Amino acid sequence: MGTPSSHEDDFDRVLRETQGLIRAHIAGMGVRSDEIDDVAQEVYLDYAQHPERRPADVEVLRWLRGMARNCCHEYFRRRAKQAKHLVAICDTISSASEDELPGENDLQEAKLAALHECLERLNLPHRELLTRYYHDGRTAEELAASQGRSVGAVHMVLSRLRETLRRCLLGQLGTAR
Amino acid sequence: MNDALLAFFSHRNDMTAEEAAAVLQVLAGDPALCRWLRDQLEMEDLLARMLQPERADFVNRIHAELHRGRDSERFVARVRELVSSDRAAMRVRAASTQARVKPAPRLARPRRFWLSPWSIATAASLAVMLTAVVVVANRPAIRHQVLQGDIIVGNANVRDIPDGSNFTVAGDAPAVVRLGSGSQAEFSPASTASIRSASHAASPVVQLDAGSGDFQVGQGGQELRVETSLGTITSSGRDGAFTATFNEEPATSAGAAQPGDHGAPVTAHRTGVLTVTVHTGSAHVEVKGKRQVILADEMRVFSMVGGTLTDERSVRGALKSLNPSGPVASVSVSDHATGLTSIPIGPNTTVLINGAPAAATDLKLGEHVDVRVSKEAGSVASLILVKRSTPKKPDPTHAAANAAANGIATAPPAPH
Repeated sequence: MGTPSSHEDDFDRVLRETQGLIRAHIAGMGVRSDEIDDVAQEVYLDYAQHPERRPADVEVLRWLRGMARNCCHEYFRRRAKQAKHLVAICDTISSASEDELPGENDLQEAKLAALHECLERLNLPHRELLTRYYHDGRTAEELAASQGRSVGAVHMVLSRLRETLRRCLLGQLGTAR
Repeated sequence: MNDALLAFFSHRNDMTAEEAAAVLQVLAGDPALCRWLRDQLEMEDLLARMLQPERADFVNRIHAELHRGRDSERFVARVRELVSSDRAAMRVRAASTQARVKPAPRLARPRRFWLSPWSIATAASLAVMLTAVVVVANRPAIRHQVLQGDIIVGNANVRDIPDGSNFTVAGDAPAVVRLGSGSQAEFSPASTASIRSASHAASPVVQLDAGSGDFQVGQGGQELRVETSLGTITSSGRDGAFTATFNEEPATSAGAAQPGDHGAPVTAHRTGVLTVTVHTGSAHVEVKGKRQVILADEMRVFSMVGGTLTDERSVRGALKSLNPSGPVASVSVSDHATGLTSIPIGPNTTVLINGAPAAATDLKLGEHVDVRVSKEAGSVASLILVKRSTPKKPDPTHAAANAAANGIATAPPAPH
């Protein structure tokens, strides 16, 4: 079943314009960061194969977010031990969050660019901690053991660093929430 | 951050019912906390995207997956054409059969064409073909992403290793491969292996033919299995990590530098050495039906000829002499209990300094070594373990300096 090239162009444009936002949306529903792209891939492959399913009066971004939510539910059903609870948590977080503006995908990319500068402002041990956790894939337990801290303390530091970076980003981008 | 959210960040997919219910309880009715959590999760994603360069290629990843999908769609379309041709042929056959049939008496029950042997056979063929079409159409191609380094499949350098294909690590740098279920493997140069998975979600199985790999179980904690022709290593748990080194040599060459030949014939067998080092968690090693558990920070060497697991001997003490080359290559270790012990070394000797593969020339006289020796009918396999207080990966340039300091000729490190 070949897709006409105009459809391919449309899909490519949609993919490029929305992927950052959809991946962030999936992250925000609680999917682990190393599996976000797998879930996002399901969303886009399904959309590419069945674009006709989207009602004409539903904008693409809203449709993709709905698909992402369904894929997240499916992900939790397959991967989480307490699937029902995780699905409920996912919906609770989603429902409490305000809708993103249509242009926010650009903001996602801008955040990514600004994050470099914000990271540079952190002190070296904190940068190393983030690198070891997010780049090297070390677990909090391993970091705790190597630093002589509790696992909870490591998570607390990571949480504070994320909050610091978020505030830095908001300052850099001139927005506030 | 309260304890409920700590569990969520720590192991959300493996939370107990109580932990998950507690998370739900603290979030319910607190939109501000929900927004805070969402911000935290989105920041996690941003950080992961920035610090994991392989995630920057998402758009190309989707296009590649779509392209693969279209290949299978074209195949399905061809099969469907064949099926429809077969239906047309069936209609022609049915029509010609009916034309030859003598008109039945008015009250006689008309003969139904689908009861004929031809029709039944055709219907059965159609059912088989349609089942094949459905199975093929619904089975996505499984590939294993190369995150770093050069991997050769056949004669081609690939970025995705097809499931079940043999591959070799090219160049001087190790290659990092993402396995299914979030696990990861770093193969040393010249390693040959293949990876197979029953499905995208299934636990991967690595067939390590030769070389070495550092294996890290994914955060999902699914089982990771590494198979060699000598034995199988299995690790599970969220933080499981181990190194497996396997080299298989013809017994004739392996035994060349080894004393201790008890006169048993060795030319008919191949011999191999499997070294397993567990960094975190634990691993099960099974060799010819014998199962052993290796815990974190433990290393074990297995060697076998003719299907017999050999006995191990452990010698610990100070390195007194080092003669890494020549017909009587050996090290001597001094300990309080047994005095001076001389241990032959050769192609089946593995040296690990702080867990990293090294050459015998990297050893320093006087330092504490832990030597495991496995004797076989035709050869001796040994593992020399050194833990130095300042972890530092051996540098090839230091090897020459050490060799010079020890008064010995520099030999190239044995391939791992």
